Amino acid sequence: MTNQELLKIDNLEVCFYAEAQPENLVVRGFNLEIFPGETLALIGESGCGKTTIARAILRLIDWPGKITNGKIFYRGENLLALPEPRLRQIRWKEIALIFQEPAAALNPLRRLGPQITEVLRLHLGLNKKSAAEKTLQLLESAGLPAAARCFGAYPHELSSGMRQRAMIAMAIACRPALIIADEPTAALDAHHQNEALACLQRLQREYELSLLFITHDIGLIARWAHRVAIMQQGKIVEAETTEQILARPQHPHTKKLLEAAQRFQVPGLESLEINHASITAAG
Amino acid sequence: MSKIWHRCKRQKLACAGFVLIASWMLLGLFAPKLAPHDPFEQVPNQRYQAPNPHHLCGTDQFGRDILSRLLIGSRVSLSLGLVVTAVALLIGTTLGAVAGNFGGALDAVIMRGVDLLLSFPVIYLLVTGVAFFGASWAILVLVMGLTSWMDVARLVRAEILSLKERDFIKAAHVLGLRQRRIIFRHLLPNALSPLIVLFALRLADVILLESSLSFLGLGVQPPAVSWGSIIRDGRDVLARAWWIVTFPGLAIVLTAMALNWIAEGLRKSL
Repeated sequence: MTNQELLKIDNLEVCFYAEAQPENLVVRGFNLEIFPGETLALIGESGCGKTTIARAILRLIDWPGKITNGKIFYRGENLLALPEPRLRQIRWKEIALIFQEPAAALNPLRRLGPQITEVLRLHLGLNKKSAAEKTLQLLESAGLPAAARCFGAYPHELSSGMRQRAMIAMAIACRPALIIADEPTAALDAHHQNEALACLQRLQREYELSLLFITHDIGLIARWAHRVAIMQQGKIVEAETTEQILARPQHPHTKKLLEAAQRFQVPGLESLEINHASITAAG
Repeated sequence: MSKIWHRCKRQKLACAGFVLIASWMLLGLFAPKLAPHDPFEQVPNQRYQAPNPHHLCGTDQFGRDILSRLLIGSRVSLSLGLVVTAVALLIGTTLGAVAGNFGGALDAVIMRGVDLLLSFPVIYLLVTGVAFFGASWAILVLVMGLTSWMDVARLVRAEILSLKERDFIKAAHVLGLRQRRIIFRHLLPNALSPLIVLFALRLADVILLESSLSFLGLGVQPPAVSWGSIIRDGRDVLARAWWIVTFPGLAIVLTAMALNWIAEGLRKSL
């Protein structure tokens, strides 16, 4: 891990509706850095602005939302001030996004394969044939059984677990430096949740990419993230190494979240205690 | 696709409408072969013949066979209708998609233009246009196309506005795709089903409009025939020969009704 941050969010402020009055600010004074190869978990309760952050990074915020202040640097370039053509080059090629609801993030009228080849052809300049081959490889490496059949399937023909893995395949297609995963497992049951997470984790190591993992479930990510940032009402209240957060949470909100997660721990299952082996392996 | 087909088959009226329109098209296509008489030949000693086995729909005041004229006239009525509807759909879809996708000032300008055009009685615009430029086929297409795209634009804009907020369109933006590709490959295909329904409805409207224009003498000019112009020919002798206006009138009504049935069936099954 070098000291040069990959992404740096500086004093971001996002406002919904009309003037930048305090009650309309969804995100304010938001600061965050992500380093190369790092997994950063952004954790907060529903409605605290996690998804807004994800969308702000890729400049997806439309009316009635507006970024009213702040800068987002990606390798020194301010994403918020980039001209459209340069932004298009960075989108997906450098920073990819996995949506919460894979069913909604895929075009229902197009087969899965062409949706992925479209990206490969656009960003890597591949021809039709090699893009199709690459897509099959990607689908296989994301653990989709019968990749060839998935290639020609419409999104509604796949199960939600398969759709999310297809999304993951799509996200790694151009080997981006950063993947933002916006509650990627919220729509899945526990079994598929684990599968999708394992798949994401494996590919992250294989491709050495950074991951901004957004979730409300601290238990989901604690064993895997290098650092955890706790968010409350549009602000970071505490950002520390996972070890620190779990062992010595400072902020009352962090403690509250941890307690909430622990309350659901079933006796006999692994507790939230950090697994040192997996962290060192990941680092 | 096959699912849609099965649902369509259950719409009995729509099927009837489809058969009717298809047969009109075939009849129009093969009109020169099928017409029992020369539709343009004037036979002085056969004027004002009531429908009889020799002239199934009678003859007009010049002794021309109405059935033959109907068949030939369907060519103009249907082809003009199709082309005009296509033009209207093209203009309306493009402007509606641009307005919906980009929003802001562009949207405001386009939609106020739509409001303005909708607040003119279309028939006056048409009359002025034809009076100004003459009634050639191209002018008719242009004038009618330019005055019937507005509701298409409104529909497409509304569809795009709601699609735009869906995740897969957001995703298309995150993928780094160009606006044009997003509009044509991701937005418009998803707005297709209401457009198909609207196509059938517009086609009925345009055929009616063409008939009114021809009736006013502003449509296709003689010797070309359309259903509207046959009615216009028979208008003055209605008391003496009811069959001249009745059969083309029936053709217009049936066609418009069939198209409405098709639209209704498509709306239910798409």
